[in-house]
Amino acid sequence: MFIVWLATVHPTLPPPVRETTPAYPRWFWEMPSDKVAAFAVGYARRYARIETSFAYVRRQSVWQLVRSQQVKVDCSQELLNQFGQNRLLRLKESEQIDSSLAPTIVASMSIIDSAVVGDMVLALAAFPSHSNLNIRNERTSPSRRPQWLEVLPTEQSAIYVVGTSPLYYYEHHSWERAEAHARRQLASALTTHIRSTGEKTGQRMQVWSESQSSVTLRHAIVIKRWFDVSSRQCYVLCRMPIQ
Amino acid sequence: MKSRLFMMVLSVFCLLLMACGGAKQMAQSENQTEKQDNESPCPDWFINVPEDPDHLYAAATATSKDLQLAINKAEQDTRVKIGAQLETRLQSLTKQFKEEIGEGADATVDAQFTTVSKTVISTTLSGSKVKKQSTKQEGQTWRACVLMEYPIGAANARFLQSLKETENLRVKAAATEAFKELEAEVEKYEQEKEKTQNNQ
Repeated sequence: MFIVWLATVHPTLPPPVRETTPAYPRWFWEMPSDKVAAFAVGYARRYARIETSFAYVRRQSVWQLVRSQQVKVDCSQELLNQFGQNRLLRLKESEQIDSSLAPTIVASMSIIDSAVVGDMVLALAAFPSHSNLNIRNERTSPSRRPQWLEVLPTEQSAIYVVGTSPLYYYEHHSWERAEAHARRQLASALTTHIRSTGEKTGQRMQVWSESQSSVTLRHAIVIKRWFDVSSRQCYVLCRMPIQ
Repeated sequence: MKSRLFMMVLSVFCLLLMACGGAKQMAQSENQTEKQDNESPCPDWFINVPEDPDHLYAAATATSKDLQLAINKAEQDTRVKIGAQLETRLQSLTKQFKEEIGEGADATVDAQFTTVSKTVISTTLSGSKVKKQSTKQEGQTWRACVLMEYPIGAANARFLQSLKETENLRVKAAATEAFKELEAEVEKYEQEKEKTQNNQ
């Protein structure tokens, strides 16, 4: 009977229910822009008490705004290219934020909107305070693969970079990592010291290379985000004006 | 007896059928492997790297289990390639200067030229931008292909600045054709930069 059930009824059963991607506020995918104000998204995990989540996300928003004003990024990476394969020998990344900016930002910032998405709490913050912004209270799922993942926007007076991160258990960590990676990419684009040495043994070539960057970023902001549902990767597009 | 014979014929037929199917499957998988071998893991721009008199381009690919690391590795490779291209370019420029100065090029000038070009290589890799990038999953690993762009104008400007700042070289190099050409190129670059900034 079981075999008969397997052969007849079982294939017609619906597939198991898959976890759907939650809908995010529209401003999360596409950040608002303004000539005067800087916008940043603060991320936090969802705690049992929602008040705790909002207090935490507000604090994170302040630090995100501080980072968007000024952040010093130091990074170095050593690679060994052997037989066409790149091996990572060393990777060092660090960020220093100017905490003295925090009181000024706290005094004149505003939280424009906040949202609970799955296990994550988001807040859209503006500095200086912005009250004339029209935010459409609309939620959407990630759209189709954006073009900026392949061809980065070009502008003479600005640099664009993409930062990525896999989806971690706590989603807010993923977006924070993606943003940190984008800042690292910006630092490398602005100034990179490259050292490399090659060694040839017979027909085999081995190249050692090191890149180092130590740059202070100013007004680097995330302008777009995207989440790839199939590979569970988070992407951010970051822009920084240059002189 | 008849039924036993029928069963035997049926099993032989089934075996033959299975063998044929297997061969077909194997042939299919071989074709797929061949197809994969022929397919480039990166887009066309990876092979046909653009050429432009105002920019240096380099393309590289790298793999890693972490997507960001794959991108970082590929980017570093492209910067190493651009650094090598820049070195070759500056070496030929230095050679041109030396040839034009001719007999006046003593040991001090020679050493100063070397210092100038080396300084430029270690400090001018600023403003390198990712022009295009492509990422894809290959089983458990990620492959990143990156096309990097570097403006030559900025490097020329720095090289000229270094020449002007070195007293002994400024006088001797200023009289050469190569210096005038370099100055004209830098001027053109500065004008274009200003024009673009005004338009924005």
